[in-house]
Amino acid sequence: MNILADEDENWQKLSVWSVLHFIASLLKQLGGNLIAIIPLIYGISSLDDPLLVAAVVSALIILMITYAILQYVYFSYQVTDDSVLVRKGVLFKKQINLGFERIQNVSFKHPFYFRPLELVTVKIDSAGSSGDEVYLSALDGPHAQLIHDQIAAAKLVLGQFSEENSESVTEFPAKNTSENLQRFLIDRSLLDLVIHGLTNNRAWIILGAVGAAYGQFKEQLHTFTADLGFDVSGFLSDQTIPVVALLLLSAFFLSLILVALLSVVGSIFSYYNYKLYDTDDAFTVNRGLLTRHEIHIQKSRIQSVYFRQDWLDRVLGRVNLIFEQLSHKTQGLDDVKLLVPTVTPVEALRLTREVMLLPDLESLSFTGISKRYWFRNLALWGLLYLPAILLGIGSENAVWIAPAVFVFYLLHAGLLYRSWKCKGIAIDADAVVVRQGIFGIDYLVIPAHKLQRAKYIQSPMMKRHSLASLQLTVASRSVEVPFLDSALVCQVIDYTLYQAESSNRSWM
Amino acid sequence: MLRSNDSPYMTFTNVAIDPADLPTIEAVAYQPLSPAYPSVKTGITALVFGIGIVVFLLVAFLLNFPLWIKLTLPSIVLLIAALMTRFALESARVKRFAIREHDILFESGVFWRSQTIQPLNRVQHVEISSGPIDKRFGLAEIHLFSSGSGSATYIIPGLPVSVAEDLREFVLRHRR
Repeated sequence: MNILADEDENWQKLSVWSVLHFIASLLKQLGGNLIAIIPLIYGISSLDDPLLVAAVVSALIILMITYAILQYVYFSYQVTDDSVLVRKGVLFKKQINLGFERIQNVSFKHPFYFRPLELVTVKIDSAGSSGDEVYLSALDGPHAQLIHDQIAAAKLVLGQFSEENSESVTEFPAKNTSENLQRFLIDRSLLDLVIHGLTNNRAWIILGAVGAAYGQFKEQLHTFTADLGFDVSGFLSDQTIPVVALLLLSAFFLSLILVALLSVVGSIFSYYNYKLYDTDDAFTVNRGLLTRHEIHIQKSRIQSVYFRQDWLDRVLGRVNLIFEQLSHKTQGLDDVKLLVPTVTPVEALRLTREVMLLPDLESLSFTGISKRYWFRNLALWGLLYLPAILLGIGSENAVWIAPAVFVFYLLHAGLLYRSWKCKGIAIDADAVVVRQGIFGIDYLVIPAHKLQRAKYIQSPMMKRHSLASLQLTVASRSVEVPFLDSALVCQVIDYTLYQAESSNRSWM
Repeated sequence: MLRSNDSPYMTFTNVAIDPADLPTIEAVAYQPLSPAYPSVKTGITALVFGIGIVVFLLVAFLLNFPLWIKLTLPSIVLLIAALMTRFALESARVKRFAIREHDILFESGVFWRSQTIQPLNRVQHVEISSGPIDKRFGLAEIHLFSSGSGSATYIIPGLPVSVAEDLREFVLRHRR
């Protein structure tokens, strides 16, 4: 097929409003390249003449808008029976052919600049290499839904023809009925998001945005404090040590509170008005404050389920539920993983049962790992602490060092003990459940039939005590359970291999 | 919540299997790699270190290093070279593989012995590669690609070319 010659009318243009999307993604790229813009900002701020600054800045803005318009002009797409085709590129022309069978997710974004116009950006992720994703921006709602339904329906047909999926697809909601078939699963209140912000550090979402701005205003801030006549270093040197220590301590706590606050704000920004729906064979998530995200994830694509619990989650009786898909590591967290923030364990279990059979995690009987794992870690860490202790004993004026390090080692030993105690594995029908943690307890659930690879690892020392480590790999992650009874490791491998190889159930 | 339709997630498979009845990885008869493989591996390691030592000696004499450096450094390197060569030999010797109806097993590791099992219905594509040295000794390695990040490519090195090609055929045939 001659790509350049076929000028048929099947190629569609985006709406003019998509220029906004191109500007936004340019800005986003610039934001990601802080190192690249710092010299730029520095260069601009070093110009003396305000008129010149205005001229340079407006020239840059015009350049950017022009580039965005050119991107819009050179962007065209079409959705055929079996693939999404995109032509783009201002200087370097590029055609992307994204076959339906390679499409992993189709998600809708409602960025704030499209919301008054009720326009949607459709993001189509490829299951192949990352960076192949396609954005179709500024579509109207029905058109976006049409594209989504077309891909979903075509995938269904593909599924019927490929052997692997033959039994896995039952029905797919026909066009325009997806609204009715959505079954509401869960939403998250503001309180949940505040808790999520406190227990999970989401500060980076805000910090990333602030970082750029701060770099710009640092100098001004400095001169401002100097103008006030407040000399920080002079102030510090005048004070006695306790006051300084107190200052440092309060600064530390202040920054902790600040980070926690930022994290809460970040959590609200990303997960505001979080709603999870079930659309028969997929999950649909709506979330976000400024930019509304609508993400569709096929249930059959979920490779593992992670119940993540930090110590604070445990205190509050909450857990983060993460559905993990095929990952290439280079892709961002948001798109490959479906996170349900800060749910109760009961809710987490209920949602997990939407994708796989799973008994109560508490009721499972976990097989722990050998105490030798703890001993080994004690010995290894001991080797690291030993020089410090010996040095402490050797020194004459700092008598407190050796006991202090030793106490620290004991505390660490306690943590290692907890970590050893928590590790365990349980198997129930198709579910392989691995437990780990120190204060909070994490559970990782893998459907045995989705196994990609298994590994049995043993050192001579482990062999002597008939122990072995187990490693199971699914498409989303690998999980390792060390120092299990070697016969058990063999059994687990035999069983999971049997599940993966005997059933023709697809892992996709 | 448990829906009655035959959605795949709800297909109830209450497998009651006696673990003793399952085919076990313990009872697998492994096959060695090509007999040429350990010697080639050892040869390459020895060669690389040998070249390193010769180059060092050349530089040392050209730049007129003090005598004790000329003597001690090469002997340390020589010691390391001997150990590494020995290790290369040993690690090549312990590698072996096995083929079953539905999967391929590969054993490796001198100190940490590991058995990696790759189910054939998870293999996405297969590659045979053979470097210039490998080619000279009729060796090839087979790469099996499965999905996901945790699973780096599954490689079985040191196979006679004909075995590697048969293996590829076997894997491809299984997929159909």
